[in-house]
Amino acid sequence: MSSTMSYYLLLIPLIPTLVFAALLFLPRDLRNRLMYVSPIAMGTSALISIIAGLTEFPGGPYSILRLDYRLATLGEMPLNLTIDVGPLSLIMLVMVTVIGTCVQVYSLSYMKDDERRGWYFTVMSLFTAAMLLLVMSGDLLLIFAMWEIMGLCSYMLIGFWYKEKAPRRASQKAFLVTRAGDGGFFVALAAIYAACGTFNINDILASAPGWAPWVAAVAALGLLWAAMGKSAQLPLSVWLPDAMAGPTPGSALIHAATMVAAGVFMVARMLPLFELTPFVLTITLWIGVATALFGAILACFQNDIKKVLAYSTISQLGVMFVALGVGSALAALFHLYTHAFFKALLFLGAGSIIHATHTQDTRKMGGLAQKMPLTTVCFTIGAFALAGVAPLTGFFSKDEVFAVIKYASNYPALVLACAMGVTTSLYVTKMWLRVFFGKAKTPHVHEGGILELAPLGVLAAATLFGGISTRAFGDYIGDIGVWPSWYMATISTCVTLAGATLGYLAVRGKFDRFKEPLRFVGAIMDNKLYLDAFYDNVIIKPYFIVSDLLWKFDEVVVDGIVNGVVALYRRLTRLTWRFDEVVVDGAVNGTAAAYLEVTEASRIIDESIIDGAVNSSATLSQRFGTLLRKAQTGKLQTYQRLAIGGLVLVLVLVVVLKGM
Amino acid sequence: MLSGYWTLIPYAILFFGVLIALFADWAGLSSRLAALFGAACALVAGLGFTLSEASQLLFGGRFMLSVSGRLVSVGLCIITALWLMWIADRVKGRTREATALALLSVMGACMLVGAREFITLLVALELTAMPSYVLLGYWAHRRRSLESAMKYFLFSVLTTLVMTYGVSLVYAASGTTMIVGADVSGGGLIGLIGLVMLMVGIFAKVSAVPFHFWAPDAYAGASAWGVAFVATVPKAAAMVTLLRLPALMADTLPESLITVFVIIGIMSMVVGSFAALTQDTIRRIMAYSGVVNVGFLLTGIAALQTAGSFAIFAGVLFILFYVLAVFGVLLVTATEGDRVSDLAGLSERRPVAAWILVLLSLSLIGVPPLAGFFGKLYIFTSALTSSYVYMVVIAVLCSVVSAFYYLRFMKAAFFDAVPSKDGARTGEEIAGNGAVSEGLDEYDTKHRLFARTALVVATTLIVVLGPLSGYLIDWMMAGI
Repeated sequence: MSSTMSYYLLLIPLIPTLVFAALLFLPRDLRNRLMYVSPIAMGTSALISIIAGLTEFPGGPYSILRLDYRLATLGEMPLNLTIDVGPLSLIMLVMVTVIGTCVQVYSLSYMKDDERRGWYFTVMSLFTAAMLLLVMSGDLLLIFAMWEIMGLCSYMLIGFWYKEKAPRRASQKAFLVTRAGDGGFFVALAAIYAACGTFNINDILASAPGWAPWVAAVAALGLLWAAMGKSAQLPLSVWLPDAMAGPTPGSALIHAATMVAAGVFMVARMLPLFELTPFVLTITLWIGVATALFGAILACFQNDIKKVLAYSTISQLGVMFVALGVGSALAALFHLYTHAFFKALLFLGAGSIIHATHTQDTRKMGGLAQKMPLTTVCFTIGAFALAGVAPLTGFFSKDEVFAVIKYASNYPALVLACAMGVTTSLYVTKMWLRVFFGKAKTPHVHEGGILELAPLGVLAAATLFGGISTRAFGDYIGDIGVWPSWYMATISTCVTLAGATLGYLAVRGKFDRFKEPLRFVGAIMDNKLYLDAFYDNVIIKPYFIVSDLLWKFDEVVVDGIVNGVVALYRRLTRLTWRFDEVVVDGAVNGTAAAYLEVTEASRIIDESIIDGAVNSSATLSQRFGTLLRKAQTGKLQTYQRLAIGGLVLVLVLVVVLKGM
Repeated sequence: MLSGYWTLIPYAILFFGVLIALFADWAGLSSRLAALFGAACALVAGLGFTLSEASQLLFGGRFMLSVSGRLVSVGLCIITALWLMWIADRVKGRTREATALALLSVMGACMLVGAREFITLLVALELTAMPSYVLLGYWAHRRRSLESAMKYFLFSVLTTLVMTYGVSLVYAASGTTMIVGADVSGGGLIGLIGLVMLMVGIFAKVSAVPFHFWAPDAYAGASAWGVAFVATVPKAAAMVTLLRLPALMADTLPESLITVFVIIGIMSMVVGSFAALTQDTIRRIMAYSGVVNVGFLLTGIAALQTAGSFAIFAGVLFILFYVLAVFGVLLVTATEGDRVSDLAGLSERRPVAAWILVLLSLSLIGVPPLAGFFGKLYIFTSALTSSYVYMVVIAVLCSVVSAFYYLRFMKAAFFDAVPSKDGARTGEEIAGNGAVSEGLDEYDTKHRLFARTALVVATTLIVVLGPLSGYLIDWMMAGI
């Protein structure tokens, strides 16, 4: 335990933030050329995290760094942003930065031909930085702020190819669904602030037992709802499969280390609050069970390799919620940790496979084992870890979850979890066999470059050897880590083997004769359990029907008002679509334009001085005037950008002045 | 207790004018009569403002028309009246709505100069600004006019949003929406950020750099007569607000905000004076002239803490003298065309107008004994009491630079050759700037009496008020 404050830890989120800030203000070409800065910065952060993590070994329940920044005083109450780094945060930092580095290095190759690759890396930097600050934060307000930044970043990543329709729709869906979840966060924040007047997590957890039971329940339910949105639990899971429309490495980041992990992490931090109201825990448990099973079953019916992985993410997040539901933060976090590595590995591997075969349909792949041996080995490690094969990390963490369920003596949940295990193993086997074995169906398949293989190798190594950290992990975060018992290990291995057998039979076509009688099941599955249809029919359509009725009603009373609203609604929708294009990219271009103007100004001034034309100050005045006229482009967007840029500059100035 | 509320009578008179103009159709009033009636209302309201009793806090301290506020209200009512007289004679087509809008806007402006609470201030500011959008885009069939209105509107919306957000943050930090005593120092950074955002809204309204971009475009596209209102009455009210806010918050104003004023002031002076140099369009030049003059005003604001109430009176006079001259220049050139070169031969066509233009331009440059000179003199004097002497140096230098483009008006009016009758300008010239003098068909020359009176009165005020300004300051000093 270190006695002095370790301020250098602040560098970990700061470095990627600075990269983001620097890249944001550059013109597109320059940004594209400077994309290497982003992975290098992330690597530096990873290095710092690993060093910090090792210095704190063997860890325990204490704080290494605590910082309060008073944002404001509301009435008498201070409003603080708190950073509170303990070993748990450290281990998350290591996970996020290592995976972030791998994903970014991989992206260097994967995104090299995209015309907006610089912007991609800019968003990635912000995304990772937000997650880093989230795991470091000691109060819910900071968590919420980072939570929202990640929501925005995922929106921009999923809709990265905004010129196509599917990514645009998917990004809106992701944003709106997670926003729906955030409503719960608001409610929880309000309840908590009303109950104890602070957002500091330690203070909240300390005072929570004294609250009225219903307040604690409201807060916990709100947080749960928010986490369900972020971590794609039923019924808010609909956005995650669609989110595949973004660039594959981006999906790797969203699915593994950042976005979806935030929900589980937040609930794990706040778990004592949940334990105050047992029924909320029970809800968490059963939502987890349902999601785990639902995701696994749906994954069996997918042929798109990214969709399979997406549903497997939903399913595995469900497993984490199960662990949380039986009150074990350790099991949930350990599974989060191992899952992050092997899921990132799987996504990056899938990216390589898609690049090589130019298809996402597993039925059109085959025989890749010979053509891409290294990728095959790495992907296999990831897939086996997902299925829970010993001694890969997935085996240990899944076992721990099974063990805590059993410890809670919740046998129905255990049975369903085993069913989930069988299903998981089934779809993994099915996918694995289809992709790597059989006849090669795509020509000209070859291995990716070193930039793609190296991250795969690192993640594969982590997945292969991470299992030995099982006990150390628990001790490190201040809990009691245990090795899996022989009893549970046997059960889970049997489960895995059963699933693998079924998967093998499925690929061999042994189940084809059930297809016809069970077609209705397939129909249900093809429609994703009708969840989308449910939302469509229960929320969206009635919304329009009600609006329609109101419109007809209003047409009689006040014509025009509703028309305006409808127009505004359409305009807003379009604005949302174009948010990325106009505001964010625009702001960047605007700054770039301003930057060019400044460059131009210095050039003009330089020339004037070098030419010795200073004596002709009238000419200089004229030139300056012409220059200023250039900024007057006539485009309103430019003006707005410049004005906001001016505001930001003034704010920075004032903050700096205050600091002095 | 209610006696103080008699101060509000002039507002009622203005509103009466609004109603008459709006329902002029039913009353069978022509546009011209409606405008003239509005002018009468504005004059009576202005008279009412001079008569009103000593300042009292109204509405629980949310509103008080101080002595300087009264002077501004009188000035703005007079300008509005002159403007209405001018459009009554010169503008073709329906101007009833324009009358109503202008009166509403001036009503908001007179409220704005008395607001002592942030919400009241916001509402008054919007009441002043909303009609301005419409006035800029008054002829809906003209694309450029609509474009300029949209630019102003969308830019304003953005900055007003920022400002409203700023108010909420200031409230969060200080726990009050009163301007006096809004102490944000206890709220940490939030309060300071809120104050900056609040000021940004006003910076945008007065078009201070870097929030000035809308002004040249909006002015250039709109009708000259619309600009003559928008660039004077709402602008003056916003400038007074820029002056009053720091004055009211004097005790609680963070030091770093003064630095922001200084920097924005210097940028406005420099950018405004140089940017206007290469412009050909009269209204664009006047837009940049507005930017420069906000910079001048900010030199006075930086001196608020040392010069006290004199700085306020100096600022108020400066603003009034400035907008009066702008008003005159825009109207006298309105019927000539968009560009400076359109003024060629003005001295032969309209000798009186040409001389009026000379006097107004000289006032804008700051030549004694015209009003503009005294305005600048006061404000620079008060600035010299502060530690921001270098701002005065920059201001004087920028005055010299900006003199150049006012001189261009005179040169064009007196010395430039008149273009030949038939051929007007060459195609190249027209393509060069894209600013062909369109919109001249808006004007009518049937009636002249009131339009001429308006211009002559404005010019007379510019000539006379300068030497009399000492009395005005004494009057205000006595009225504290």
